[in-house]
Amino acid sequence: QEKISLKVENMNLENVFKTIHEKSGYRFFYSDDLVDLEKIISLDVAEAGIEQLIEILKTKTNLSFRMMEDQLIVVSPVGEKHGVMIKGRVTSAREPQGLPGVNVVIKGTAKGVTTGMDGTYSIEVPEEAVVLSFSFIGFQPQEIAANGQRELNVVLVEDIQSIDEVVVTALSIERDKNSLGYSITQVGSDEINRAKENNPVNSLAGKVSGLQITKSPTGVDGSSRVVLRGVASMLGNNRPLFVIDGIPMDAGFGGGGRWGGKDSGDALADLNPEDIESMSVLKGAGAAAAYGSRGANGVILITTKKGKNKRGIGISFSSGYTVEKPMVTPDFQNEYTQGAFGYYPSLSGNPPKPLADYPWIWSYGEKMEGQTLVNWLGQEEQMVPQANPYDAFFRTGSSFTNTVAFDGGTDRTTFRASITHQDSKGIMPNNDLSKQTFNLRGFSKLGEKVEFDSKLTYIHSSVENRPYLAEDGSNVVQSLAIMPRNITLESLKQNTADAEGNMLKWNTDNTFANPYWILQNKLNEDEKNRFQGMFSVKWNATEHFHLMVRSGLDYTNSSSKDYENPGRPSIATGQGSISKGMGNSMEWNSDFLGTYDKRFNDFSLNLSLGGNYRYNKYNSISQWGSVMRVPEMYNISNYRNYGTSEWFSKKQVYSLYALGQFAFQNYLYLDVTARNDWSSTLPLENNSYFYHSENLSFLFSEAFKLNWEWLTTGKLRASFAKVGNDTGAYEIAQYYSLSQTQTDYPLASIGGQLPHFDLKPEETSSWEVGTNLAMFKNRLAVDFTYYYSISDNQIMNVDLTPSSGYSSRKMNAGKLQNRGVEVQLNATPVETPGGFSWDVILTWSKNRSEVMELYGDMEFLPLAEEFHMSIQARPGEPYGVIYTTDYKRDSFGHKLIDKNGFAQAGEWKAMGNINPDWMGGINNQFSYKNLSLSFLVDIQKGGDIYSWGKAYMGLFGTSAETLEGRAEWAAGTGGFIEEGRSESNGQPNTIPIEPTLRWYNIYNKQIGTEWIQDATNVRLRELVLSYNMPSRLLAKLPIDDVNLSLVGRNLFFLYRAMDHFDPESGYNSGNTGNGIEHLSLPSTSSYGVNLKINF
Amino acid sequence: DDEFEKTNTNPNAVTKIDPEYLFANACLQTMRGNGNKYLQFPFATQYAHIYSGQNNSMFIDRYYDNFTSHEYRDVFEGFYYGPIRHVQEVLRLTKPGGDYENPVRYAMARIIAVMNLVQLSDAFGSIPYRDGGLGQEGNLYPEYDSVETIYKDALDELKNAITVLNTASSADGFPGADPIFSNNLENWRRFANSLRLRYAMRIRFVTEEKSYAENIIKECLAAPLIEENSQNVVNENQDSDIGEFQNPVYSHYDYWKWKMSAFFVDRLKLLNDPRLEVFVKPNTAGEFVGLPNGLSNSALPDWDLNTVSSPADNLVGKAAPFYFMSAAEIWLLRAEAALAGISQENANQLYQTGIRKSLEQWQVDETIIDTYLAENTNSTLNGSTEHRFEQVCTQVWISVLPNAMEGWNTIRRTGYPKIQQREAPDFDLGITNGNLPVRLRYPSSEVNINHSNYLKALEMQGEDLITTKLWWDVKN
Repeated sequence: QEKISLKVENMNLENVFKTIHEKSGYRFFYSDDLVDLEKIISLDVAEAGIEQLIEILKTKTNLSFRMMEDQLIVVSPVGEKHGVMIKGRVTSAREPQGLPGVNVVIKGTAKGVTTGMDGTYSIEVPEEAVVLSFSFIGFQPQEIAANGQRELNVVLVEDIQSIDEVVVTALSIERDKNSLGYSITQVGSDEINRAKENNPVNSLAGKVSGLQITKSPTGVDGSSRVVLRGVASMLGNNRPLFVIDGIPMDAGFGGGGRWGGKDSGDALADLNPEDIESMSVLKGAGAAAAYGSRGANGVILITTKKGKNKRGIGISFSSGYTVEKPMVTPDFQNEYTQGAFGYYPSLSGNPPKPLADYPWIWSYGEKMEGQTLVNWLGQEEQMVPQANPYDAFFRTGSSFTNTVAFDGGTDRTTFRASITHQDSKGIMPNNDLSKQTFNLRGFSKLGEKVEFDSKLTYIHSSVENRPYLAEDGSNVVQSLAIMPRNITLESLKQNTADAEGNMLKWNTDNTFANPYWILQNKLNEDEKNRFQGMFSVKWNATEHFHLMVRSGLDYTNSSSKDYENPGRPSIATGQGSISKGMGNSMEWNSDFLGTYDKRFNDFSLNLSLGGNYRYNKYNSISQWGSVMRVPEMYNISNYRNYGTSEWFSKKQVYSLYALGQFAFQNYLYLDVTARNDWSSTLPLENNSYFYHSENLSFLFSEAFKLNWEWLTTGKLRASFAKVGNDTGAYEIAQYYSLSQTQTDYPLASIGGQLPHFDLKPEETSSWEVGTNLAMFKNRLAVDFTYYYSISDNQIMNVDLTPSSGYSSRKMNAGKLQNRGVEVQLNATPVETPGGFSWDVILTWSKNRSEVMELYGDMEFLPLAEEFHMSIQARPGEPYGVIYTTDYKRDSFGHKLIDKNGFAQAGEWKAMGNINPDWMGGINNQFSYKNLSLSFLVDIQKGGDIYSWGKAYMGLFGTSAETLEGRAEWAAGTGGFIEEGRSESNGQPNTIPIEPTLRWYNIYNKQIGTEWIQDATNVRLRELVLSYNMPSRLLAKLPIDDVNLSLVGRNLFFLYRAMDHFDPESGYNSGNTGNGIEHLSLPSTSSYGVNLKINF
Repeated sequence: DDEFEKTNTNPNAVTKIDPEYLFANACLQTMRGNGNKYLQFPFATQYAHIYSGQNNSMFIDRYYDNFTSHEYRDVFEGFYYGPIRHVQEVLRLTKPGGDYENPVRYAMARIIAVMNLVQLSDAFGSIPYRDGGLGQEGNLYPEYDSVETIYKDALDELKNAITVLNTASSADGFPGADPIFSNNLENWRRFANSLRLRYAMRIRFVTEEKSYAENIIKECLAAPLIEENSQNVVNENQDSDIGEFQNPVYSHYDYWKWKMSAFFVDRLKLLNDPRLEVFVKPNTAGEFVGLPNGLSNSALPDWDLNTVSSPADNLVGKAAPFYFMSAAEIWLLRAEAALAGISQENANQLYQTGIRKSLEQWQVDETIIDTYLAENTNSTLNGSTEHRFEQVCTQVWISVLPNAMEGWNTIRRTGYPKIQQREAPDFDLGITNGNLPVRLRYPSSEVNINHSNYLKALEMQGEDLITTKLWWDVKN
């Protein structure tokens, strides 16, 4: 046995114990209440054994000492009855190695210990007949009577209801959910990975009330529209702020425009679902006020996984394979050939071919009955119905993702490293994605007081051939939808170009190309390198004061290339064209946060003071060329006509903020935040702006000590917040730019946007009230919120009247309010001792927006336009009303039909609203032992979408509804009879019209009524069957855990009101992106299998 | 604060610039910009019955008017956002007290401003003329001026500009950046005076203004006018792959693909006019066939569009020039003035000079010109005064091409050439009952945002319809 030498003078007992511990390794175990630690003693021993030392200590104090195993010495006052040591290990199903941090308390006393890193504990109890209670956040508490046992091993059961008890809030501060005065929803890694989406944000759809997520069917890396509690900024960005491990990430939206383009994706797809530990959705400004302006639309906080302290290195491997198929394809008519008025086009040219111009490229020709006609290639062909071209054109998409993650550590240092590789093939035959993510996270305690946390993420992705959208002449979906019904896809595929390389097609309109020519000749590729790095140092200066300093960088380098071979019958691009771009964007945030917390009896407070410095820089250069000289060389030097442009911008924002949390006993909590920003983009005299929030949480069940059987906890909460916003760089001065020109003299231009020299920061004020009720022993939890927000002084580009010479001006204008209700119910209706349980999560939300004011006497603000319609903001109306021309109607609403049998154009008016009446989700999970089945039904009630695909298919005669009246017209017995009243005599209309002219008439008169479609739908969003291999099967293998799941996403509609298309068919993810359908790709269903193995 | 100011300094553009470069841009946009392009094509070319719409996009040719959010807006914005915005900036910088004060430059810019604003007014009627394009000076809700105010002011402005230019030194002009006349002030004077003649002729049928207009016409005739093709106001283009040197209509035509109007082709055939081949491309059979304007849906399929003539390269080709004003037009206007007794010149001689200048402008062989002028009955004024007047107007209508806007103006001003009212069922009657539209409707953006001034404009001018005649459109 080791000998100890020790000499101390006038040292208090606590330090004496510490000194002995340092010298000998023996730990003293005592209760503060019973032992007088401040007692001063002196010792002088040399080369003594531990027993001798204890004997000396006994003489100097009034204490008794008992030696235990593991160099533990239990100290108790003399005269007290000696207790009994109980020890054991606490585990859970997921943590069979041991669950650290579990509270072990002797029931009826305040005496307790917590489990160590390996889940073990030991506690001295006064007598053997005690009851120990084990509790840990996220688990159901357990009480176990010792009954004389000296070893109690406990398995804690996860508590689904209370899993959200501790949530990550603004500035990554973990908080008890009960203490929060605002609504927050946290979704854990399991739920995100259960039915993995490439873009993890899409997995939130239907799971968070108040969150509307619409994925655009725009290719393999398409963007998603994400809106929390409605659109607040009329023309600005309404996406919530995404914050990853404390570092904000720029996540702009993507998508094409009305006239085309492609969806270059959004940054959200760069998040790797495998690396995510949890996502917290901070819905209102109250929750997000600490983030200042950028939190005005809510914040989605993403915490990535840290390593775990465990023996050795943990390896986990997960692999997923998913296939994807079109979910909704249009209903085509399958009976009539190309042509118009019932005739096949006459032939012309050499060799003679069907006339390739309007109206002869429509599908209003002859009935297909096997007759032989000359086809678009000038060959004789039997006319037979063709299958739905979507089915043959699109391929089965697939996605194969593999992740290997390593983690491990000690009680001082943990790390986690992961590599993910993803290969995806879109349903568009040449649209592919390849992505690699490397993630490294390290956490270390340096000494007792300093914690160091760091992260490095590198993402590389490359995408080929993003589909062209909307009215783009390269949108192949548009060509497929209007292609005459007798033309075979095969004939297009075999005949893409003539000998000179000119595109072959059946029509003369540049809007509609041969889709196979496009696949081969109109190509694009882009590549992105993204680097995100963060490190933070936390100094726990004293028990009550902590200081955190952090710096994080998000840097993206991207390049893109878009090129077309010669051959298109277009003057502008027909000789080959290219455009290239390269851009770098950087956001650098550095912040500090000092926190002081203190508890006085019933009252505790936590005060923080922090600051942030944000620096944004963006630069880009782009080039374009046309008239290609040598084939297949896509270098700018190979083009005769070329140009280039560049852009550079930067921005800085300094912020200071203060946060205070005050708690009274365990039932009243008040949070206040204050923040001031100074932005470089605003005029110097207005560049400082202040915001604040106040949040109150009251646990009435605790306050009134309600011991109601049915109520576990009950909370009322209220929150108020005011946040501001700044603008982009260089918007407060008038500039002249020089046009790139080859003339002898320079050409100067003035931009169309007038600056505002006196811009003020915009303001959003909001409040919310809500309640959280946990009932029936947490079997049922209700979260209810009512919120109201108003955004004023919005900084926007207000449209000017054209005769002012300028198209818009940056100004403070407009006022928009949103109010709504959110409900979330979590329930466990069935839970049997046999291991079967049924959990339900129900979300429901409803938002009402109202435009309060625009600018000056402006009647409306146009938000988006499509043929014959406009989505507008008008005072007194919701944001996003669809205006179009209605039919001319009588006072009873009947259509008025003219003397020739045609419907007529009436008033231009509000005909739809892009906002849903309400949204909901029902998530059911059935678990039995190792097996679980869950499914999510996602519901949107109401909301309208303007379907230009339906309009085109009607005009061109390819949709099923255009069949009406054709047979009768051909037989001479009738035709299409427009429903309505004759304008001349008021009687029901009976005049048949030629069916070709029916849809043409509506198109020609720009009547939009038929294209307004109800977006109401109920879909099976997610279905997961999951199997955890029982641990006894794995006991002999070096494997801890195996999980296999079968996953289906977006499987089918239980109900869909819209014709031909999925209501989620927009071509961009901007504010009104859900309001217009214009022949994007069909939405898809996916089926996959995921395997996860932990070693 | 210094740091912020430095951060928020835009490296991509400047805050001060020599107005010369803005002026050059304004000049080019006047002739090449979207305003002129979208006004001429598709509106004026179809209303003047030079081209016919052939496909889905033929609503304009069919006399419909529901384009307030697009086609009308494109024209309106094309002018205000292009030449007008830029020339107003030149005026703001060069005016007395401006940062770059210079009366000569100011006068030249004034001419550019007037030619754009009046052309826009010829399309819409009342427009914000005095206040238009002044957003930079804070005028965000410009008031409309009546056509009468616009014309009278324009006539004054041009007179003032000519007075300044009469004594100006060319060094004070735009020596380095004048895409129209390379700073030849003599040509600028002739142009300003010719423009003034065009405007005065335009209003001469307004009863109350007869003597006012005739006095101005006399003033114009007493000063140098555009007489030679070398003095034409033209935007020359090249057979280049570089977009900025191409005829801007070249790629525009690719989308619209108009056919030649049967009215135009038949008229030139009737006149045996050598310019038929200049403007019209023969079909594959070598024939010149036009397509009637405004055919109905039921009549259009009877036409095999492959056999109908397209516009020739002189109009829509890559290298085709755009003439804003040519010597031919001025000689013909002089003929009209003589015919009306405003001047004592020989009307027939002027008429023939006009035709000759036009044929020369299009490089018709001199012997063909001589023969045509000597032998063709139409190349000599004949018949009644009204017939002679019709002959002159018809020649104006042809010779202004490709500036079809002046063709449509001529039809509205003089009633010649006469466009018949269309009849069903062969023709779509549009919303005008088959009558030629006489103006464009205001764009929805203007109606929406500048609402109260728009309403005031309608009070002066009448309903916002394509059948509401302009102030000077009084004949027939």
